[in-house]
Amino acid sequence: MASDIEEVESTESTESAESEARELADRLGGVGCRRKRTEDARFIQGKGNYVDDIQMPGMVYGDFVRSPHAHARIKSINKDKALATPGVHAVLTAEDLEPLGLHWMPTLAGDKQMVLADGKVCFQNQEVAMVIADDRYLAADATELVEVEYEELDPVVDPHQSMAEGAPVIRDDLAGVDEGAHGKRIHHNHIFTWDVGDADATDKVFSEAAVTVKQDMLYPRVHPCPLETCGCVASFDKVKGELTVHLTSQAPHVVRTVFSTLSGIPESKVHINAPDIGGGFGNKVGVYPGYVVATVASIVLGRPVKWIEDRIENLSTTAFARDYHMTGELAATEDGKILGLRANVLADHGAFDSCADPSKWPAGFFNICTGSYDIKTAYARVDGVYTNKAPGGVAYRCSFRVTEACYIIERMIDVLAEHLGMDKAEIRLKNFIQPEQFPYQSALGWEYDSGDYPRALKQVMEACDYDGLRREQKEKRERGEIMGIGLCTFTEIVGAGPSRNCDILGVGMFDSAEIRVHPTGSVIARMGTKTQGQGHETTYGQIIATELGLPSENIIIEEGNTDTAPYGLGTYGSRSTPVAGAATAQAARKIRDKARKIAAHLMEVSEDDLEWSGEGFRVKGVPDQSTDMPTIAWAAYNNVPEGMEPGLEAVDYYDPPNMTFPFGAYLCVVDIDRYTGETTIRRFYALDDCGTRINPMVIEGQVHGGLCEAFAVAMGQELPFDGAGNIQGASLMDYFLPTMVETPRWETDHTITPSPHHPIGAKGVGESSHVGGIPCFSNAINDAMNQFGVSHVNMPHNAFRVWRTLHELELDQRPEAANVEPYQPTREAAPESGSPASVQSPDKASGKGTEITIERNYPLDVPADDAWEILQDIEKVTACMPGASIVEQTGDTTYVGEMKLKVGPVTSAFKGDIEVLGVDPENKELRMTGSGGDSKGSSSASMSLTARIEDKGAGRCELVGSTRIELKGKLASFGGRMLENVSDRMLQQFVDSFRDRVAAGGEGEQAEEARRRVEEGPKSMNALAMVWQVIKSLFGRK
Amino acid sequence: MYAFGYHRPTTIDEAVTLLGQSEDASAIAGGQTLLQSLKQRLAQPGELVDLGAIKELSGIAVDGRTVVIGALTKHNEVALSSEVRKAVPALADLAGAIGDHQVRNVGTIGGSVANSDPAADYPAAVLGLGATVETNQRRIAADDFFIDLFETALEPGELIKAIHFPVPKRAAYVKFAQPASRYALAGVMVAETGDGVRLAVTGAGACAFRVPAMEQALAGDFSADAIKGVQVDADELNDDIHGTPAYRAHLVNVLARRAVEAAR
Repeated sequence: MASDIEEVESTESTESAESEARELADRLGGVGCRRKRTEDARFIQGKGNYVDDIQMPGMVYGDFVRSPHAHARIKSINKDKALATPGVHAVLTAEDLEPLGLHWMPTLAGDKQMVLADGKVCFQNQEVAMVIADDRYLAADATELVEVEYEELDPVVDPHQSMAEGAPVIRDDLAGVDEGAHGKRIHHNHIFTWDVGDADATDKVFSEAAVTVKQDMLYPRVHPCPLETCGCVASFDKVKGELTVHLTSQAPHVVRTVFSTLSGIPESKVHINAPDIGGGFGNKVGVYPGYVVATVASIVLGRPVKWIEDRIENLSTTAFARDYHMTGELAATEDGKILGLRANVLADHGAFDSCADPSKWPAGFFNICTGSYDIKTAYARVDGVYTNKAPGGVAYRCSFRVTEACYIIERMIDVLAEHLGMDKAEIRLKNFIQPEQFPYQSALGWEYDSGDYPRALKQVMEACDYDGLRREQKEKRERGEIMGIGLCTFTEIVGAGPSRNCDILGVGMFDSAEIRVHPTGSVIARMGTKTQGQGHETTYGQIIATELGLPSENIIIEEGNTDTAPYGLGTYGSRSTPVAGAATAQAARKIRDKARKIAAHLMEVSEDDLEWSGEGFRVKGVPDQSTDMPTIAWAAYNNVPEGMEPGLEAVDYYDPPNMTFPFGAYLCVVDIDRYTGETTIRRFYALDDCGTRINPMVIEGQVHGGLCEAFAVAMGQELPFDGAGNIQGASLMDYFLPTMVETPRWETDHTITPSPHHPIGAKGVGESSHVGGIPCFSNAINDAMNQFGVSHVNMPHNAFRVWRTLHELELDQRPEAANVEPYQPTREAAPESGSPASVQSPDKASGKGTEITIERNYPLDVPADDAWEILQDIEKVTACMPGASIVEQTGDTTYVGEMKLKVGPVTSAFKGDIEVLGVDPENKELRMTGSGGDSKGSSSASMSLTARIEDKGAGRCELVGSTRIELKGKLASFGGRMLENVSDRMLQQFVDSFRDRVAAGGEGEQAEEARRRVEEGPKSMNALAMVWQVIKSLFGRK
Repeated sequence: MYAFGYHRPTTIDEAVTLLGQSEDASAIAGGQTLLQSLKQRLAQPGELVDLGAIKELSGIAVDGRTVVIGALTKHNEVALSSEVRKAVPALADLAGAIGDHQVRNVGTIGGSVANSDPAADYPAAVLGLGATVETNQRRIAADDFFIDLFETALEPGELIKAIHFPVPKRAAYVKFAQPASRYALAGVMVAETGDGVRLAVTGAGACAFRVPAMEQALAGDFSADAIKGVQVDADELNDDIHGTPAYRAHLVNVLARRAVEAAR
């Protein structure tokens, strides 16, 4: 197919043939035309049909009871109150699922995952029980009535601490299991070690190289955050014994196989339907507990059950992406020729390994990390570990771990250039795999199909006047302005994949298409993939239009219904065009072969005398003797050659011979406001080469979409956790989803290097700009910082973090930027390479949970003895706390207390145990602890308090208080940051009331006034402002 | 969302009566905070009293010296009012930078001010322009209105009717929006008024606050350079995943200087 490239070279005859082909493509709506998306008509009119639009007679709703703790043992679950609520049909727990063997489920990565918490919880918001009720409001009400008693365990949040000696055991179920799905486990929190390449040869290259560089970098935990969250409607027909599940799935056929295997229902009686899907980006590949429990509930109740996530559930529990703690190393000559690469990764997989990778690839295709460069010797090692965080590790708008691989090599080549003082374009041009080297065997095992990297980069450099930009950067620096230029010349690996090395749960990663041509020449076609916004209904139609010479407007594309569509592995990893697109072309060609026979029969000539005209067949050399496809289609149903079956349809299952390797060259120009850290992406130029371009408009749309998400990841997205495992910022108030307001303007360009092994030469493009965009943004920011001696700063490059670096350099104050002393961020010394622990992430989760310690002294205008008398009386002390009271004394020193808090309309009630640990009359000191949860079960708090009365003489004393408060759950996730402010005010109010109480015991007008205030009780508490913070965190923009 | 009763009175008196009848009644204006809290099951009012049908609470009146904005006036009505823009362009700018169009078409000035979210924009205008908050019971000076985190001088049963903004000689509002939410990570309103220079900050502390040191410096010399060295104390400022107190303190200075330069 190399000749295809040459065909682009102009000779007069090819030029006229080309314009003829273009005219035909435009007329048919075929390959190469900018056909408008057929699916948009229904979407822009609000006529899409999503899972939550599905209504069924008798349908009931499920909602989850979730864990406020990241790590805890479950001591008991009491469903009585919930079950007693009218309208509640069932409360399912692991105990209910166990007899069916469904309390755990297998993951795609060879691990298993709790469907509902089985004895313990391993991450915050983990599914503990599902309540099924008449409507979703009732279901939500009843989740608060399910009483779960937890015994908290120490959580492991930082993957670096996960494999420490004595680290808490996260997975009790794996005790004694030394052999995991991917080989030996070397620690109780270790999942796998996966390595590739020649370690010894790489060591040798590094030891002999003139130049070596090494850099730690963190690819933070992010989330695909599709606009539509995950959900399903499960409906079991008891009479037929058939299960129908409508669900948000990128891979409905695989789900059918999984459901059949799990439930024991024959696969023919499992019907999976993925209707319109509002974005997936990898988040909708896996099978989630919600799907399984809703299905069980439907089987148990004999009614359809709907379960739909809300945004917080989506961001905090269903599959995250990345969380790779990486160390990259390059060995090179003094003039910048790269000799070797070494990559070590510590991969945080959360509490269960539910990465959605092909079975044999626990770290996905991370071994594409030699990138676009001719690196002869390389070694990569990835260690997966468990932590007390939500499981996942999906490919967020990328092929499996390709974004991570691309990031490390594209950052490292800049690090090397900076180290050598070499230009960042020059070092790329020097190390590119050259066009004549294709097919190219990479050091880490891939065969790159085709590419022309130098041409792509040079085209971008010319279009953007790269040299001019560098001159401008230098001038700006002299003026004290900060500008960065980022380059990224990436190679992806997509289109998984050949079944010889790619499978999901044992099913080879082929894909399929079935095409039926109706008698009147219109077409229906179905594929094993599933569009989630990619525009399959448009682009597959274009492939068929060109292959069959029939107008695409009469071609219907259907996907997602496993009853009608042929089996396929679904849409992710840019595999639809490379695999199902190939199947589509092959199936169409089978039809064309039959059409040729029918045409020969109709025209009474030999098949060999016919040639394809683009819309039918014509006799070679006799152009006016021809027949078109509609004529042939009609004949297929009434006039076929003797011995031929009637009809005109074909199915093709395509097992690709190789992956495809799309590539691109991107350039980003960023201006940095040195005073605020704000960044302005002044220019972003994206040149993509995805081989044959099926619909340039759809490609541009894909590139724009991928760049928006790349911008989001590089510049703002992050799912941080505190030290106790509380997820921070899992709502759109904190999680950055850029809109048109924040998004820069994109410039797009392309070259065309077809894939030699794909039937139409297409490579896939849906994810390229996400994979290539992220390092480009990051390289631009780092390029700006390089000028001041900083070698690398981690993503996300939000204004605060950019400012922090500028502030450390003192650039946010002084007007002159030049001549700043080089600065290195402080890093811990790295241990020997090769061991997983060698990876030091510069940004670790803070060691602390959401907790504070407050120590305060409050002068009191009363004698010490009077104050002490009240301090000993727990009921009186409690009464000083606004909204607090003692409900019951349960022992000599133990009580059950209650605390109601109210802020405007927001109410919350905490109930818990209080224990007086000690009363020391000598020192007038009281020590007590309290712990409890809110009545909704979504948050918990614990507190310890030491209060002492110090006599200051002259009838005055001082209340010395020291308190430590720790929050977990929803309040910690969203309101923890307000904890200090709120606690401080609560204490102040407490002290005011306390003062009144003490003063009330006295005489005179002041005592009278104090007694009146005591009588009134503390002023209505306006202190749970952290709850407001929660609300604010939930979409409200005011 | 929990179940609740819903009322839509047409007069202030009726609204106050309804609110007084139940201990857990809540007034709702634009609902841009309350609706979210209801949906997340954080609020459980027994009764919702919707103020939206009380006509006298809505509208903008401008005379030479004062801009009076009814409590139920929506952000976009303020942002797009040519009269407001002419009299106090900084106020129209501020309203136009709140949230997004959806929020601006529903959210109200009274709701925002009564809620006193630490990161809301309007409190900076009320305090920075030296406005007066008119309620169904009294008039409250801006300096006395904002007490603390989500706490104002409003008493139970007290509803904001309108906000009276004196027209300043010049003013500007400069905001650093947190990109995910577009709440102010920090926002500064500076105004040269008949009573001197006022400078109010939102987003950085528990509630909107003035910076006397900057006001004094600007009183003598209304220029960005005059406050170059005047920093606010980071100790009392907000800390979250989007920025440390030190960052907020730094931003206040930068934004204040920019606001002074932009004042018109």
